[in-house]
Amino acid sequence: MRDRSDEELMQAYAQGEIEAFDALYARHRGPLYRYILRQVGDSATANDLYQGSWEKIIGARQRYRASAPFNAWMYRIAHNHVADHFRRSRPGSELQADHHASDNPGPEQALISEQTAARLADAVRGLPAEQRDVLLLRLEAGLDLDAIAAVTGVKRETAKSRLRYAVGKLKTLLGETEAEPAS
Amino acid sequence: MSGNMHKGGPDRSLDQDLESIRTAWQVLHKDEPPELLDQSVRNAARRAVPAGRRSRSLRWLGSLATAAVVVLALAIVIQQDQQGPVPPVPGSDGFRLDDASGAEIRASDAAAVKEKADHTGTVLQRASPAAASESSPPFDGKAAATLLEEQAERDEALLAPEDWVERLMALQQAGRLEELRAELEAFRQAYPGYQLPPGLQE
Repeated sequence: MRDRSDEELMQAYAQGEIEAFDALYARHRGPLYRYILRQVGDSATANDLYQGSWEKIIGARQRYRASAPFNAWMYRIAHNHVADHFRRSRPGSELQADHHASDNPGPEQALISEQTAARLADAVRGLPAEQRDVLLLRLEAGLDLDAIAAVTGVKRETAKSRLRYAVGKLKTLLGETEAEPAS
Repeated sequence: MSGNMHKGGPDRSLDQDLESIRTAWQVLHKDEPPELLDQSVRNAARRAVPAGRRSRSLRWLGSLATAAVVVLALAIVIQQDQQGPVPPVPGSDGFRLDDASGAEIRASDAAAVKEKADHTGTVLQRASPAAASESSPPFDGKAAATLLEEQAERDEALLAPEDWVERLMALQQAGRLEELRAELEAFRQAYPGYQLPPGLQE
C-alpha cells in the first residue's frame, strides 16, 4: 500500500477498496487539516470544513481521473469549500486571531522562539485571504506555483504575485523579530 | 523547499525567501484533526462504498465459506445415499409391524440410525463446535439411537395383528369376556387403524 501513488489509491478507492482510502487519508489528514485551520482560525469551524471537504472528496471519487495530480485535485475541493464558507460568513470573520501557534520546536529550529512562531502565525492570519491561501498551499500542501494556480483558479503569474506579497510581509516580520533583543 | 518552482532569477529569490519562512513555520504546533473526526471521515468513506464492492482483498473469505457449505452438504447427501433411506419413525403413518422378521429389520435399522446419528453429531460438532456447545443443546446421537432401539424391542414383543385377532376371537368363543375387553383395548392402542372382523367390533 505504501508503494502506491496517491492517484492509484484514489482510483482503487473509487473502485471500492476501502483500505486504499485509509492509506490516502493517513497521508493527507495533517496537511489538509492545517491548511484549513490556518485559514479559519478556530478549531470548531476548521473541523466542520475539514469534514465537509473530505465528504466532497468522497462524493467526487467517481469523477476523479488519475491524469490529474491527486494533491491539487484534493486541495482544489478544500479551497472551494473554504471559499464558500467565507462567502457565507460575515465580512471579516476570516481575520480572527489564530490561537494555534504554540510549542514543540524541533532541534533544528531551536533558535526560533515560540514567540516568533506565534507572531508568524498571527501575521499569516492577518494576510489578505488570497495571499494567505496561496501561502498555505505552498507551506502546508507543498504545491508548486502551477498547482497553486490550478487550485485557486488564477493564472500562474497571479499566484506568484500573491505569494511574493505574502512572503515579503512575513520576511519583514521575521527580520524585525530577529532584530529584537532576546527576552 | 522541495517544490517545483521554475528556477528563473525572480523565482529563485522567492524560493530563498520562502525557505526562511518555512523554517519558522515548522516551529508551529502541528495541529492534526481530532480522532473522532478521523473516524467520522473514515466511516463516511465506508458508507459511500456499496457493501458488495467493499474489501476486495477479503472477498475470497465469503467464497471459501460458500464452497465449504456446499461441500459439506454434498458429503452428507452422498453418505445418506450409501447408507440407504432413513427408516420411518415408529408410530407414524405407514409404519406397521407385520411379523417377526419386520421387527428384526427395524432393530437393524435402529442400529444404522444410531451409527448415522453418531456420525452426524460428529460432523456437526466439527463444523461448528462453538454452536454445538453453546447456542444449542448438544446433539446426543447415542441417546436418540437408544430410544429407537427401545422402541424396536417393544415392537418386537407385540403380536402381529392377524395373530392377535385370532387370539381375540378365541377369547370370544371361550367366553372370557373380561380378558377379551382388555386385549381389545390393547390391540386398538397398538393398531388404531386396523379393521377388526365384524364379530369383534361390538
